[in-house]
Amino acid sequence: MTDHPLPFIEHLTEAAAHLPGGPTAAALRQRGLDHWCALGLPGRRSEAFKYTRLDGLKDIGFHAAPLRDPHPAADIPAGDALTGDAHVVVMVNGRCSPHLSDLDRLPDGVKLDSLRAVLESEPESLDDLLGRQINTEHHPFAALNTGLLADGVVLTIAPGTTLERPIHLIHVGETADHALAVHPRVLVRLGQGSAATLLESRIGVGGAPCLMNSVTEILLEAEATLDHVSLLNLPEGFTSLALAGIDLGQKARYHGFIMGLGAGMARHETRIRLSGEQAHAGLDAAAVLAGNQHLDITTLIEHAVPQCTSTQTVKSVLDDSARGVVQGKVVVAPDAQKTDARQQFRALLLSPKAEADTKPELEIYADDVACAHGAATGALDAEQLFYLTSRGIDPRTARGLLIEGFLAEALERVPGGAHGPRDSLADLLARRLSGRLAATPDAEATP
Amino acid sequence: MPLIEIKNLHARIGEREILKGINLAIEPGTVHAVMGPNGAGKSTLSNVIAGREGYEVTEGEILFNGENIAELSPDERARAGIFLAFQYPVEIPGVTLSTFLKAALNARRKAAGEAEIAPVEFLKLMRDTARRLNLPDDLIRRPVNVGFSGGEKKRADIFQMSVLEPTLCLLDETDSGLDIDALKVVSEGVNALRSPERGFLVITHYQRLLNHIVPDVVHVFADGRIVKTGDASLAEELEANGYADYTDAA
Ligand SMILES: Nc1ncnc2c1ncn2[C@@H]1O[C@H](COP(=O)(O)OP(=O)(O)OP(=O)(O)O)[C@@H](O)[C@H]1O
Ligand SMILES: [Mg+2]
Repeated sequence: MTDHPLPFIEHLTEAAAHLPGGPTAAALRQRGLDHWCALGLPGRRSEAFKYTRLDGLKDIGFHAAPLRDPHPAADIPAGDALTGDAHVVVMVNGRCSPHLSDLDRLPDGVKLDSLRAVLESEPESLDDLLGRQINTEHHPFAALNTGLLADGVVLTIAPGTTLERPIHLIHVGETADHALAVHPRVLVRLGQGSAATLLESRIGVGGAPCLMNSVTEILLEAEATLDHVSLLNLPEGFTSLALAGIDLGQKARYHGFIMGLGAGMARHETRIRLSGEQAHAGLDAAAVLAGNQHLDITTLIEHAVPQCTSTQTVKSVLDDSARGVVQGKVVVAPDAQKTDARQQFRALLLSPKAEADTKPELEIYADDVACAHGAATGALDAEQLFYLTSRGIDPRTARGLLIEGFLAEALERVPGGAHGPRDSLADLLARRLSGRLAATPDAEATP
Repeated sequence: MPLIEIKNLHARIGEREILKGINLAIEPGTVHAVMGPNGAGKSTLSNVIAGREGYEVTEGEILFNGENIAELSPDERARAGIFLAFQYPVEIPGVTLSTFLKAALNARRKAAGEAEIAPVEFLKLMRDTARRLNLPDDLIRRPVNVGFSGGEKKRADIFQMSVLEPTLCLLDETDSGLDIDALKVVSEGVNALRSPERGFLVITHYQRLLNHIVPDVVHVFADGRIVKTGDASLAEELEANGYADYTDAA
């Protein structure tokens, strides 16, 4: 496998024959395959992947995950996932696992199925959803995901329906003795005036590497509201690549929050299109990385029509040799007047070897707009540390308090209010921080 | 034994010598005031006592309760009983005053071999102390000093001091920025802490504060040295004549 010039090509050609779905799905896969062949792994000249080198993937002999239903995995590290009351759906290695999911208490107006089941039974119901929010022509990993399209989740909420409990999608990567590549697809459609909360946890176990390459497509019809919280909490040997394409109709509201606690290598890209007037998108993130972890949060918010608003706050804490990349682009179309777009990226470096690459970018073609962006990178403040320690707090605790304080502003933005996943995220964060992160002795010496 | 004894203390920042041989002993139960022109080294002295980084002590020593504290870090000094009310209190975004003080209080209790404070007890302590210092209740739920007015910041430092009950209180221009009422409230807060085992070093530019917190000893500080020591009347004399006599001498 490794001697092939284009990785995954065997997965793609072998898969084509027996994957589920009708001619539309087959045609879509073929396009995915063609685009993957044209694009391949992003190379040195790729601007979009400039800070995130993925050529190493070609040296890992990934196997394709088996298509059959996964057996109930005994050792899912559930403690790594978000907690709280929710309708849980578990996907093991990209395959929806009915045994581990509880889909029986769904209220009227809510449909939640495995993508595979839908592809087998009524593939035509996906025609105006599948492949619509993303463009595989320019995105190699979305092309790869599409070429291997087989399973995932389809969530449909009928117009006017409000889903009280969140839906919690747990992506589990589980490897044994060989490396696995999995390519789940998540499709979400919120009918007019509906409202829901979608939680996603990416967790994993296993000694061998795993590539989780997911694509999520979300369509919000007019006045629909979606709160979407994604936790990334994968082991070192894992690579997590994700692309989400989200379209907002008139007065629709989307609020996404990404909590990145890492994988060895991760790149999460979100592309939001505000295509109905007075729609609002919030896209916030917090990341806490250490060791050699790398997380790339890339976003595109496209204001296509007038009077839409978007806000974005990203805060990263980087220790050891960790690297945090934040590329955020806002595009305001020529007639998208009265656009209000805000971006704020901040990184806290705890070690001289940690690196933050922040690139806020505005592309404005309209004239009556309010846009602001800013980026700042710095070390822990020596004055603040002295103030805390001068009260008797030991330096390690003081650093922990400052780090928590730095992240507090981001955590406040976790959607869902008091019943949302904020506490669960705060717990995971506290556990992470009580580890060695705050212990860096030379933290304040960082220039 | 003095609570703190400073002997021939020389300290520099980079190449520049700021403290040029300070001798000072504060007995338990006494209040020492330090007055002196801008740039004389008053804050430097209090920072060096508190153990702030960036100063190099080139000569002399500081004995706290008879022990040399040269090797102690700021948090160890604080847990031993030293408290510095800052000339410019620092803002800590995202960390509430209550979280901060609870951590500080428990650090001291832990060092003293005591159990952590019970949440209810802590809350009561915070509320009672805030009331005594005329601080709004919500201040303790806000991030430390963030968006506090100048006077509120100074009062918040005295609030911390009242909760932590140190044995040596270093007050660096706590009166600057306080309105007349706040000055009284803060002074009352400080006076309430006066006790036979506690000592105070009060840095100020204004005699006014010393009408409220009556000092036992007044020092005039100029160019890194104590150039004169007297009783409370020395402050009045300074108020009338300024520092000209001393700065010329220094
Ligand atoms: N970090 C520093 N780097 C260089 N010089 C410094 C630094 N901190 C203080 N100094 C200098 O040391 C001298 C003493 O400063 P200090 O703050 O102790 O004075 P002060 O007596 O407290 O004055 P004030 O009454 O204005 O508060 C000043 O000349 C000041 O410029
Ligand atoms: Mg000063």
